[in-house]
Parts: sequence; structure tokens; C-alpha cells
Amino acid sequence: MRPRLVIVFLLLVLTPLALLAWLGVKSAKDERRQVSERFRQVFDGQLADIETLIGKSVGELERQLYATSDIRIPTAENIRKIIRRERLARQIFIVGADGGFLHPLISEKSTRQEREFFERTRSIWDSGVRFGERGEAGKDRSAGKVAQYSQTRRPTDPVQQFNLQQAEVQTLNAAPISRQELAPLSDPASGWHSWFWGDGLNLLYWRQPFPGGPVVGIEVERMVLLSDIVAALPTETGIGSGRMVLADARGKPIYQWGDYEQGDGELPLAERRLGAPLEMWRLRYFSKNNPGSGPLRAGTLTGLFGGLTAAGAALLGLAMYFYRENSREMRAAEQKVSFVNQVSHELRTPLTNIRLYAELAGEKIEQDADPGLRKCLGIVSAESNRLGRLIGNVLTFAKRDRDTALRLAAGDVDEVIKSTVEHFRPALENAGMEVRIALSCAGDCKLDADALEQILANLFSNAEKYASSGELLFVSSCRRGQNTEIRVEDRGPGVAKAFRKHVFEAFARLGDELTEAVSGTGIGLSIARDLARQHGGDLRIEDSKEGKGCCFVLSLAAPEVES
Amino acid sequence: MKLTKKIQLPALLAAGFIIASPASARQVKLEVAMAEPLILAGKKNTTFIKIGLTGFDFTKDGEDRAPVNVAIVLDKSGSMDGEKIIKAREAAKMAIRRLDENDIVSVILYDSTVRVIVPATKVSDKEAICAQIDRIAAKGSTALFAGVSKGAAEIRKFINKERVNRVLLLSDGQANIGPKSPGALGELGGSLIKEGISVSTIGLGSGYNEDLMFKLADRSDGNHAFAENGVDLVRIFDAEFGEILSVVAQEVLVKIECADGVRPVRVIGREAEISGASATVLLNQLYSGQEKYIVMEVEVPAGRAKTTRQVASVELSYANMATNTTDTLASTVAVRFTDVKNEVAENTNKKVMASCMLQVGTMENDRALALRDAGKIDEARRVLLANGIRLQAEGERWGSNDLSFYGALNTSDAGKLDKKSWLLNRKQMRDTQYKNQKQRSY
Repeated sequence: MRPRLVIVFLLLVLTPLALLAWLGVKSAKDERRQVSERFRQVFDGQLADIETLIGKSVGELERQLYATSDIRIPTAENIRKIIRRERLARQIFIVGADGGFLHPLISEKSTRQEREFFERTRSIWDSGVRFGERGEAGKDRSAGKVAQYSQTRRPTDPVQQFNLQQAEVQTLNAAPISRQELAPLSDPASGWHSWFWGDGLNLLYWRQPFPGGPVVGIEVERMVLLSDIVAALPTETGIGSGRMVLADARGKPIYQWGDYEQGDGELPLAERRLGAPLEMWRLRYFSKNNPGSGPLRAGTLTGLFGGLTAAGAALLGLAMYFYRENSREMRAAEQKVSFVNQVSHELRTPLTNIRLYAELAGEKIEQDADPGLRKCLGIVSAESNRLGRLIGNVLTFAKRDRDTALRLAAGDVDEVIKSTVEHFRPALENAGMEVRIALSCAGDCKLDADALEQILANLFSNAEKYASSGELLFVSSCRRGQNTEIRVEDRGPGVAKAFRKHVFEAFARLGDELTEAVSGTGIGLSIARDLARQHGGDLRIEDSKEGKGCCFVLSLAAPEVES
Repeated sequence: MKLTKKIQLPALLAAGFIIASPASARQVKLEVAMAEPLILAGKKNTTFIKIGLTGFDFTKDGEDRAPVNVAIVLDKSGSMDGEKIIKAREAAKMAIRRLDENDIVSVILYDSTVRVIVPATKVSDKEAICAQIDRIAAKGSTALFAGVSKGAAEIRKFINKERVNRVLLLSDGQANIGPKSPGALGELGGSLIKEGISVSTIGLGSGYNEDLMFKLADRSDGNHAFAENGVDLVRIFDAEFGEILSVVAQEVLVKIECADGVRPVRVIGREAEISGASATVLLNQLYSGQEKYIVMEVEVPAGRAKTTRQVASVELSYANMATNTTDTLASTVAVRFTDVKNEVAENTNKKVMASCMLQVGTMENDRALALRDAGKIDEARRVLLANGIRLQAEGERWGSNDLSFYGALNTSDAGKLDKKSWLLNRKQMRDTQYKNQKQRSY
């Protein structure tokens, strides 16, 4: 098979295959995107449910903290007792109306835990955050921070300190706290404050029992909060094989469940930020049935591959069928040539004799001049010449692959043209064509006159066959450097641009009305071009200058011979 | 150091300066004693008070024991594979077979996630529970925090002051999901004790974080122990269950109020809250026939010879598991001043002093461990050697084999600070520290 054919076949098969593959993958991806979107909605719903669960847990903690913040007798001793009892309270503090600490106070009596509390919370007080509304006393202090270190305002006299505390205690007690009175979650006089200390997020709950009064704050035991949330969360996911992760501000898992192991750096299918006060944390969902990313699923790929294979096989079959059809025609044509070739050899000798004796007979009857007889002989002579050309063509075509060498000799291009034209003139005129010549290549040059004659004969024969309607054949020659250019123009129907390449191919007779009525072997132009190329030139078709018909341009490398 | 021998109350009274409330058969015994009942006059003295709490015996057939509510939290991460998981299963099954239908048990597994394979349930069908345990296979990483949290959640389902509420945690690896610092787990332990839940931690092999396990147990007043291998684990599991089944008192709150002028310096070996002249120590439970004690260092101002000075009053309240009542006891302790130096030593309460010295020695051992952690191996070795010599001397002086033995252990520890044996010995050191500080019975 010729390489060009291979490429054509490959393209024929591969192009539609590639197109199909692309469409297949694209539609699979689209479908997957839709599925992924639906999954995402499901996951988002799941995450929202989990968030609700966490919200409930936090709400419960908040209720507990609310209850804990209800301190009837806020003495240091009592507060310590509460801390000993309440697992959520790491430390309890009370900030007075003026922003100063009422508890804990740094003194000889303060516990290690109370001192550490100030260490942990220093950043809060330094930032000047204030909890609740500021009281009358606080308003007087226009400048500075609200919550100040107790050291700065602690009276040096312990007795005075005690009294102060007692006085503030009165204020605190003046506001009755009733558990039923306010729903903790909607209590505007309470809130959360979060800050970073140590290795994570810390939370502080505060409540102002009455506007402008002291604020009771509870530093939440962070591990209890975490532990309670973990305890409230499920141990298995409800939706297939996946992994839910509660991650902290740094993205580290705090708690996770579900039987899928997510890889390092794997992106979650869905993510949700928690609401206050845990807004630094997020929920993530991972799954191996990741419908939105990663490679296509094996099932999809198998289907696609199967479809493509089937389509490929069908296309290949089709291509093979066409190839076989095509090559059968080629073989048939070649057989024809080979048959004609053999016959031609046999025909040549008798034909030569016929031509010889026809010419002899012609000369002999010159004197008798019976016009009817002479015309008959002329036809015999012309037709035997024609037959001779056909046989010559067939033999040349058959020899083509053996690359026969040209027989170069000194000759005159114009003379060859003239003689060939003279040979054809009767037939052309008979077909109603006028022959004009304009030659300007006189002089000897190196050429194979037989080859040139064969080329021209083929061109003229074509013109006679296909372009007789144009009623004109114009033959011209000129020299371009070492090359000789011969133009053979007609005014016939011409050759459409798309077919110009093909007219030079063997057996490529253009399948239209032009060639239908005319017989031919389909090798003439092929031989003509081969000969021209052997002669160091080329044969091509150009548009006729008159805008009608076609123009064969024959160029030959025919260097002049110095006489 | 099992203190089976009970110190006779009259004898202690005779030794002087001890007033204890009369102990009944169903009453915890409170003994408050000065290490040095007689101190030198004319100067400020620093000395020790020991507050001993001894659980009463319950009837021997065990019918009387308090029902328990135990969550067994097992590490089934990949590192547990092989002999460890087999022995862990064996230990857990053995423990469950010791329970009866009044008890509640839950079994929780953790690796990278947590599973509750036996939710809190009455132990009526032991074999069904054991069958669940038999299915455990090891794989995954270590979500220790979540494991304990879920264990505590199972306990909470049936939490009851009349039950012994205990999470029993087994781990052989580093916690790597969720909070993982000793401090964080300590905080969790500190909050669980407020609910009356103790966490006992058993570290298996050489891979676990002993500081984390120590802190978690310490702050929740459970037990901590090191099991070198599977066989050790079975033994310790059994001993721990023995403890759980012998609890006689819970929510044990000890308040020590120092008398005027006496300053509390520190409480050695236990978590305490000191505010001004008062100190509060919370123990989650007392076990039958076992003494737990608190050692407090105090500074006593100078006094005149032949006078007596009140040092502290101690109040004890606890939930009595035999009678289901909250009982309180009170006691005071005083010192007498003398001019004669010899008399101080002669009158020293040897047993009390030995206990105090054991706490001091344990603290030194901990200091050496911290030095080794900081890479100061030579300094750590010096501290351990000095500690060993001193403890052995004190042991001889106060006639305490325990002290002498711990002295020898310190000397031996000094030789195990190099890289090869350190990993395992550090766990052993933590184990012994815990045993000393909390008077673990096994």
C-alpha cells in the first residue's frame, strides 16, 4: 500500500474516532459534573445536619454556662467551689461596672490557677475588649482599657479590698437571675468571646445580669467543650463510604468518623464553616466515590472504550472495502494495459507494414488522381498513424517503471512541433478545429524528438477528443533560459481546478459528461507528464488567457547545441 | 507498696498531737500526722504534714461492693497488631468475666475513628460482650482524645454517684488525631473528675506517650501503669479491675486549713488548689483497705520551747459507697517546740517521714527526667545518683524498705539515660512515679 494511502486510511479511521472519543469524554464529564453537583447538595445537607448537632451541643453548653454564671454569693471562696464542681468552668471572673476586676484578684490568697488565668487571657485585656454595657462608674473613666489588671486598681489594704468586693457583691445580687426568665440563646446581655492561646482556640462566655452592672465571665474548659462535641457526634456516616472530619482552625482533624481514609492534602468534596462561636472550625466531607474530580470511573471508561473500538472497527472495515474496490479497478486497468501491451507488440509489425504500403500506394496513385481513392488512402494512413500512437503510448506506459533512458540528440523543437501538427492537422480540421501556431524556438538543441512528439501527440489527441467544441487549437513555443516552453491551448470546456491534479494520474478519466462520449485508455496525460519529467521539465495545466478552455504548459530542459 | 498493716489509732495518739475522729467499720479512716511532731524552738521550721485516708474493708464475699460503670477504651491502631491485640482482647474478656449484672460496661475501640462496639449495658450476657471483643482487629491511626470522649459519653448514660465510674484506656501509640498534648489530655482528665469519672491509663510497649497517659490519669485520679508486653498487660488489667471493684468511697474532698501564721508551701505529688492558708485536694475514690495520702509541706513560724502550736485542721468529706451517704470527718494537727536538737530526730514519726521522703524523692526523680528531656544527660545522672544515695540513707534512717528500694531504683535509673534503653526506662520511671505519688496498689 502506498504511504499516502496509509495516511489517508489512518485519517479516515482516526479522525472520526478522535471526535467520538472527545464527545464521549465530554458528555461523560458533563454527566459527572451533574452527578457531582447532586452529590454536593446531599453532602452539604449532611454537613448542615452535623452542624445542627454541634449547634445543639453548644446550646446545651451555653445553658449550663448560663446556669453556672448565676452566682448567688460571689465570694472568692464560693467561686472556687463552683469551679471545683463545674466541669465546664476553667475559671470564673467578674468584671465590675467600672471595668475593673472583682474576681479573681491577684493577692497572696489567689490560687495558682487564678494567676495562670491572667497569663492565658492577657491578650484579651490588652486588646481592650469589653463585655456587656458599661455602667455609670465605667462611663466616668473615659480613657484606657475597660478590663484592667487587678494589680492596677487593687487597694493595698486587704480590708478595704474586702469591703469593695462586698459592695460589688451587693450590686451583683441586686439583679435577680432566674433560669426560666431568659432563654440563654437569645439573651442579648450574654455572648461568646474567642481567642487563641496555647495550641488552639479558647472560648469565654460572658453574661451581664443587668445593664450597666458587673459582668460574669466563664473561661470555658476547652477540652470539655471539645469532648462534649465529640461525644455528641456520630461514629459512622449515614451516606455510604466516606469520611466526615471536624477540623480546627489549622485544618487539623479534631474528630473524624466514617470508614474512608482521606489522603494527605486530599480536597474535601464538601466543606462547611461552623457558626459562632466555633467559626474557626469547619466540617469536611471526603469520599472515595469522588464524583466531581479525579479520573473517570472505570465503568465509564470501559463503556467509552468499547464504543470507540466498535466504531473504529466499522470505520476500518469501510475503509478496507473502499480500498479493495479501488485496487480492484486499478488491477483491472493494469490487466487491460498488460493485455494491450502484449497485443500491441504483435500489432506493431503489421501496422508498420500497413503504414508503409499505404504511403507507397498514396505516392503511386498521385498521378491517377481519383479524389475518392486518395481520400480513402489518406484515412487509412491517418488511422494507422493514430493506431501507431496508441500502441506507442501503451508500450511507453508498460516500460515506465523500468525507467528507460531518453535518447538525446540534436534536434529542432519547432520542427518537431510543426511535423506533429501537420500529422494531426487533417484529423483536427476534420473535427472542426482551426490550428494556429506561433513558434520561436528555431535552432538545434539537445532533445529526444520521439518523446516530444509523443507528448504533443497525446496533447493534440486530447484536444481533438475533448475540446473540438472550442474550434481552435493554439500551439506556441518560446525559450526560457535553458528551458523550452511549449503551450497548447484550446477553447474547449477546460478542466475544473479541483481535477487538474488528477488528470495526470493513470486511468483517471474525469467522470463527467466531458469524457463520457469519448473513448480512451486514460494513460495519455500520465505518460506525457512522465516523459516531460524525464526530460527535466514538467507538464501542467494553466487557465487559458482567454478565460475559456485549458492550456497545457510543457517545459523541457533542452539546452541549445552550438553548431 | 500495699499498706495492709493498719496503724493503730491509740498508738498515734500516744505519739501525740494527732486527733482523729473515731473510725467505724464502715468509715474511712482519716489520719493527720506531722512528720516531726517535735520541732526546734526559736526558728522558722519547714516540715511535712501527712494526711492519710484509708478505705474500710467491705465484706469479703464481695456482695457488698459498689457496682461499677466501666468504659473499656481500646487502642486498635495498626501498631497493636499481633500479640498485643490478642492479649488486649484476653485482658478485656477476663475483666468482663469478673463483673456481674449490677455492673455496667461499654467497650470502645479507636484508631483514626472511634467505634462503640458495646454501648453502655448491664453485664448480663458476658459471652455476647466477649464475642464482640473477639472480633477486634488492629489497623489505622490513633484518635485517643475521641476514644476517651466517647468512653466518657458511654459512662454518662448511666452515671450515678453510687457506681464506680471509670474509663479504662489502653494505648500503645502516640495520639495523632485530635488534641494530643499531655496538657490537653490533662485538662480533659481534670474536668472528668468533676463528674466523678476517673480515667485509668495503661501504656503498652515502648511506643505510647507516657506523659499524656500519666497526666490524663493523674488529673482524673485514675491509675496509670506501664505494661511492657502482652503478659504484663493481662496482669495489670486484672489488678486495675481489682481496684475498680474495691472502691469504698468517692468524691473525696480534703480541705486543709493552716492555722494562723502557718504557711502552706506546697502539696507534693497531687494536684491541689492552694489559696492563702487553705489547700483543697480532690481524690475521686478510696479503695478498700488501701491508704492514700497527701503530703503537704508547711512553714511553721518560730515558737518558744515547751509550747504547742496548732498547725492545721483537716476536713474530709466523701461519698460512702457502703451506706450511700455523704460522710464528713475532721481532724487537727499540732507541733510542740523543744530546745533539744536530739529530741527532734528521736520523736520523728518514722512512717510519716518515710512517706514524705518518698514524695520528695519522686519529685527529684521527675526533675531528673525533665533534665534528661532537655538533653542534660550528665546533670540528670547526677540528680538521680544523689537522689538514690539520699533515699537509701533516709530509708535506713526511718526503717523503710520502700524508700531504700526506690533509692536503689534511682541509682539504676542513672545508668539508663543513654539512648538505647531510655525510651523504655522513661516509661518505667513514669510508672513508678505514678505508683508513688498516687499510692497505686499494684
